[in-house]
Amino acid sequence: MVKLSASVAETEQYFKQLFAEQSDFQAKRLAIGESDYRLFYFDTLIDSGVVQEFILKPLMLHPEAEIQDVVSILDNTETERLEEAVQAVLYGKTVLQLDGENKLYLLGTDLKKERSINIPINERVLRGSNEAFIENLDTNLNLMRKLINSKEFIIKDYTLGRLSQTKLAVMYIKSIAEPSIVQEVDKRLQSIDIDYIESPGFLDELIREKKYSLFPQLLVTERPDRARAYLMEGKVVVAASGSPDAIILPVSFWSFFQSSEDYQMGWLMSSIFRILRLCCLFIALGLPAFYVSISSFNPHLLPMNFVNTLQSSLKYITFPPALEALAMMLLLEILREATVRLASPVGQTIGVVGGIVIGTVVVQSNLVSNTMVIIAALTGLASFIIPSYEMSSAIRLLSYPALLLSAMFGLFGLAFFFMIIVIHLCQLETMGLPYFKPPFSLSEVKDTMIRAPVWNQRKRPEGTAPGNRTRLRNPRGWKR
Amino acid sequence: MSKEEVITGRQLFTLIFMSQIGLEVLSLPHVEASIAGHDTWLAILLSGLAAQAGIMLLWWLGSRYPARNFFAYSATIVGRPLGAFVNLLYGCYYTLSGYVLIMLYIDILNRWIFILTPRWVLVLMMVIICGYAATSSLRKLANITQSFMILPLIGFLLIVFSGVYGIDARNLLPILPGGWNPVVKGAYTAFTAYVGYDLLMYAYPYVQTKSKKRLLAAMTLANACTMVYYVAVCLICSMSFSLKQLTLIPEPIVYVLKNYRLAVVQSIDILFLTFYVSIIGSTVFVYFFMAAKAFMHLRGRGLGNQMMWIWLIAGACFIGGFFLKKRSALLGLANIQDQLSIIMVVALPVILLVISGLRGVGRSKL
Repeated sequence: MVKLSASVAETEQYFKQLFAEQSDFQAKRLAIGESDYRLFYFDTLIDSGVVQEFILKPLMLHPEAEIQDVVSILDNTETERLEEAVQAVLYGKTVLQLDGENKLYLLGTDLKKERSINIPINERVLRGSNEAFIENLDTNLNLMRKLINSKEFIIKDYTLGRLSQTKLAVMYIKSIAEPSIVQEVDKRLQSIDIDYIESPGFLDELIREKKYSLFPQLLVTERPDRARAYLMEGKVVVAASGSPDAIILPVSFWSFFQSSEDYQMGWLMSSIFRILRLCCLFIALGLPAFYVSISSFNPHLLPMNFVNTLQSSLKYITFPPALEALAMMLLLEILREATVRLASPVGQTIGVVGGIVIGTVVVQSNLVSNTMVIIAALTGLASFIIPSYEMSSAIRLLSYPALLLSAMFGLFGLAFFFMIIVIHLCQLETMGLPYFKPPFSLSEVKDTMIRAPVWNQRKRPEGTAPGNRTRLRNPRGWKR
Repeated sequence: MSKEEVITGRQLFTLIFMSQIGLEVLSLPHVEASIAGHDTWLAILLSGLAAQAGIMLLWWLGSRYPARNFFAYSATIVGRPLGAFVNLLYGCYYTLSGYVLIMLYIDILNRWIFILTPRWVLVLMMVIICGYAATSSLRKLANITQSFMILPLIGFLLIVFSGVYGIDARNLLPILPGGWNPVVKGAYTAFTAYVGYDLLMYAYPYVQTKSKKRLLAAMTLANACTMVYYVAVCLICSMSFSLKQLTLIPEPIVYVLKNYRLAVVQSIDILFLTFYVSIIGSTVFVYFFMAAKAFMHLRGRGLGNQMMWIWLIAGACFIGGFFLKKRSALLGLANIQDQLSIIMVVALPVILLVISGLRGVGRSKL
């Protein structure tokens, strides 16, 4: 704790000592009439136009007036603590001191360089808003505030990372969210002690309950409208500076199968698509495994003519079905990874050409059967239908152990695998709420397996909003 | 009481139903054929009523100590050393029940699907599933059983639809040829099919219903569903086969399923036996869970943690899987377990209830 002295020279010396090796730190002397000013700033962080226009110019024009009265900058605070001034300088503020005055003025002059708000790339929709979060936290908060103009909408600030001093914002709706969950989030964020934070990756790993689980337990979204929809269910949204993704918690397993478009289309249509996604979950998890167990253990499970078709395609194949499936699934994974990593114009061509060429050649050379190619393609497609990328990757990875088990024990192995998965899902928790609950009553089915009509969802989900559950009172009041 | 342990009436229903439905679906018609003959369904109805009486008994016992589970208040009734002994008995009984059930199911698998697979591998798989599930709290256990709930329903539909072909109601006639005597005997044998409702001994204080009558209603409903399930299976078996056939075939319902062919699936029996693992599993992990809880209450302030006990029990079952090579020995043990379950689930609670009534230590709100 260094005491602030009234002499600018001493303050300057303090700063100079502290930032001796920083080439971009500036301590500018400014003598106007009788008074001696000092400006401290990093010239890489400040917007020099602002400094000239709103600090230097007014000071020159009104040499006699109080600093507070002439400097026309909104973000303007006074302090007597040097540490605070140091941190402010690092955030891009300009620190101003008048010789003889025992205080520092912290003036917000930071340079805002940011992307413009563009359309979401990872969560495409046909209907609905086309705004996506960007890396700048203030802009993201502005987007959220504009979507929810309510006094109930609370934004709390956090600073995490001993070195990086990353700014985080926790958002929730006061009258809906369960206070204990908000407190739990607060507790977990406060207890994070780390040198720098990478959102959402680090956050996810640091605040999840079960450390060793493939399943994503926090929902990551880049869409403000989606964040709003979850806020309205009593959930908490965490956004961090430097990351165009907001984290939604606590979410259940079913949230990963919801897309924001479900709420723009008619309820029947979106219900059907929701069910399709759940079917695809099973296909992506178990189809190769099922095929392997059928073709190598229980061919008599299928009708005779079907088995004959299968056998004829397997006639000249050298490898056992399990190995075929493994090879094809690996191939698919390699193609996916390649297309993600490569530059986009090249990537797509490689994907298409590679897929077609490899697929046809592999079949013609009798390395892999026709059926297996179909199965692998279907499995891959099914996994990509799942809206959340993390979830679809988890499902794809889990299909390997399923394959191994059914290669060893046939259908029984597959049943064993599914049981283990269900038990694991039931044991997971997020923020003290169960992660997976089989929909067992009508109210639980309403926004999980299907998307019930808006006028029918009178209650918010129980877990996150137990106190204030009524969502709507008389939505179709026009109809007597 | 932690939030972790509290379950709703609906969850209690699933837990009880899933732990009641067990292997008897496959074996009961065969076992009963030589006892109650064609009146098996009557015998099952009777034993269902008996199980209802048993449920009332446990409910009554539980309502005397509404704030604690059975293993916690057993010491209050009969004193500390005896109470510990009672808990030990229950722990061993549940471990044995889980073990016998696993072995019986694997015996069936060995005969139908895995002709050449070494038995210990299957035992290991079963033990892993059941042990893993049983490490959870009561609420998570309820969630797991709710997830599996759809399978017995599918199984029921399969059985009913496949049974509709080739049944002859005249197979049931004459009703009661030998008077009520064989039926009552059969009811005694069939009673073990309903065992599983004893989970109430542990779960009673953790169920959150509007009233204690609601709790009883959930139990009754579960018991009724179990009864319907068994009766349907037995009726279909009795109507499809003659008595002589039933005494020879160990799992008649599988043959019924084998006969039935869909356009897309040809041998439903394999599918049925495969997903039956979830139904057996839910019964076994409830047993493991109860066993662990019983062992944990050996001491007033608790002994060990659930994780440790569960894996000890599971390990014991796995090691047990290397023994009992002969089918006759296994059936003998299963018989002993049947007798034991009547003692443990009916007789002992009655004795405890009587003692508790005499000592008048009930109504303690500890």
